[in-house]
Amino acid sequence: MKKDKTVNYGKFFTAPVIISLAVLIIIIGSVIFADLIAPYDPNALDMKNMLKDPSSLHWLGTDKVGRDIFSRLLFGGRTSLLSALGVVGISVIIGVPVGLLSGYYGGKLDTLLMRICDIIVSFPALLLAFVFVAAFGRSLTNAILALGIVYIPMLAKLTRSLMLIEKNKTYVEAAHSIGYSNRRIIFLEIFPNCISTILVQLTLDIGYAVLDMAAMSFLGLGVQPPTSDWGFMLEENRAFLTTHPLTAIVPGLVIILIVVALNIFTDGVQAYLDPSQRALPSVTKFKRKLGITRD
Amino acid sequence: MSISGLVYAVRDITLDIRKGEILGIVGESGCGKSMTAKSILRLHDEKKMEYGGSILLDGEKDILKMSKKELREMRGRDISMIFQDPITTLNPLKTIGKQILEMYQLHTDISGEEAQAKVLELLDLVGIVPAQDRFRQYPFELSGGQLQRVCIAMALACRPKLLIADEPTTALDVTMQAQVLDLLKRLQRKYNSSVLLITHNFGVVAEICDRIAVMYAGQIVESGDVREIFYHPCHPYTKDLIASIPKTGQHGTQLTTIPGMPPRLNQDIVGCPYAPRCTKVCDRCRTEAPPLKNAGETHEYLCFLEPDNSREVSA
Repeated sequence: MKKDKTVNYGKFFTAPVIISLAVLIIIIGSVIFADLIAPYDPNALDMKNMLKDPSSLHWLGTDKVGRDIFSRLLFGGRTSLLSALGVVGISVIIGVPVGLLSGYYGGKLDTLLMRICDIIVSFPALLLAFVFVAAFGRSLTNAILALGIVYIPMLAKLTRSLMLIEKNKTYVEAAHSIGYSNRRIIFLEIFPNCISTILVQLTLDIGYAVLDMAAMSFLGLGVQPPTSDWGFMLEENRAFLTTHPLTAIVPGLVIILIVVALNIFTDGVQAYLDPSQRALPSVTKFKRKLGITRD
Repeated sequence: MSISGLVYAVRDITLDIRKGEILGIVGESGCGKSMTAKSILRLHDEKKMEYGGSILLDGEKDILKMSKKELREMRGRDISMIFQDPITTLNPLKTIGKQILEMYQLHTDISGEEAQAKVLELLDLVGIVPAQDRFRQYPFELSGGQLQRVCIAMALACRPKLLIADEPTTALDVTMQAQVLDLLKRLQRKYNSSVLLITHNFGVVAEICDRIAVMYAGQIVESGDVREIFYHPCHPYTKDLIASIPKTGQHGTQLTTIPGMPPRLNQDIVGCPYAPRCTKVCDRCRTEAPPLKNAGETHEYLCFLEPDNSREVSA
């Protein structure tokens, strides 16, 4: 079906989406091309220049052993973002299907899956992650796996509750009445109606994952020094907060920036996914007033 | 099952729907009309529900004995259903055209373009015009009446043998009701489908049905041709129902009601379930289940009263 001018396909690229997307692209892009951008080796020690304030040589200053903070930030982004994505990815791949099936079929399957989730939740998240890492060995991969598993129940329970709401709606009964299979109903009818809520949880989870990863690294279970990582930088430089606040504030700000940008971006995606929000006349009018839409 | 145990929502029902016939099931809320309708498609959760007896399609295939696969193939192709509230019946995230198309392609092997042409034709047929534009609209962009037309188009896409309409006009305003009923009847004639129409509105039944079955407390208490039931009701419940239809010119007078509530269905009913509310109740009604009596070739009812006797009373 070709696009038709008489139909309102809505607008995805609204001002907030464009701005947040730009921020995300800048951060992710500079992290990917860290090799080209970074002025210094992130791990090179320079004892003569420790804890320097920002200057033309070191744009964001240096830390307690004279490493360039800007360079460490760029390289740290790699570990931070990759591990956060890994953690959230694992929890989505397992948590969402578990929640969907558990909520849809109920009964024994539901009891079994939810009790497993309860067991995971009943331990403090980080403690459990420590146990996993202790059992399987210290490495970044194991830390990501461990946190991923710890994040599963949250997402599974959220998805399950969404499924419980959706599965009693008439459109599901109607889908049964025209001969759709359970699999089709779960994944093609109900799941799309849950996506927007799940997305919000995911963007929040990415922020938590960066911080939890930092806590793991702080205890020596995640990122291994001297590799840099945003959360780890935050922890490392906490001691100098009173004398050289920038060393800890800068990585903190980057984490905030990426979480906020992700949230705004998801809001845009969410609005676009819901056809009634997408084409709401008052929204269009409001946008027109701001001069955002072209039509 | 409920907290208080087993509920016999529908008991001892025998219904037959002939080809090209519209059968109406009438009764007040909670008397098992929708239960009966959904049972035909086996839509109830079978972990919580038990079926008994048999439901025959074409007089031979027992729906209750079908495998899950057979059941899925039958649903939508041989028997389809229209629900009460069209606004919640369609998936809010898919365009109406896509929803009909997907359903149509599931049951036929027709390729994309041909199937799409067929869907456009269907939309046109039910009065969703211009079909080309409407095809790409989302459910929220259409009104309740239009959505019910879409649902009708979807239900009739595969020319089912039986169409179950569960209070299809209850959620619509009065002018829309007439239009939707009209459409339903027109398409039923065109495709020669059978229709099972569930309603609590006698006016709706009178307008389009060929036969009526009156339900009370999970039983069919009276059934027969529309005219028979309207002009010569035999069961006291049917009479009371007909008496409580508001009439024009009744301005200022109190509406007639039937006092009391239908019995709770989680306990055994001794005698006639209508006995506590019946005006012509006798001692026998409270202890003995009433027999099925004939009051004409097609007219049956469940009461101790004789047809002539009761006809006299009604006159």
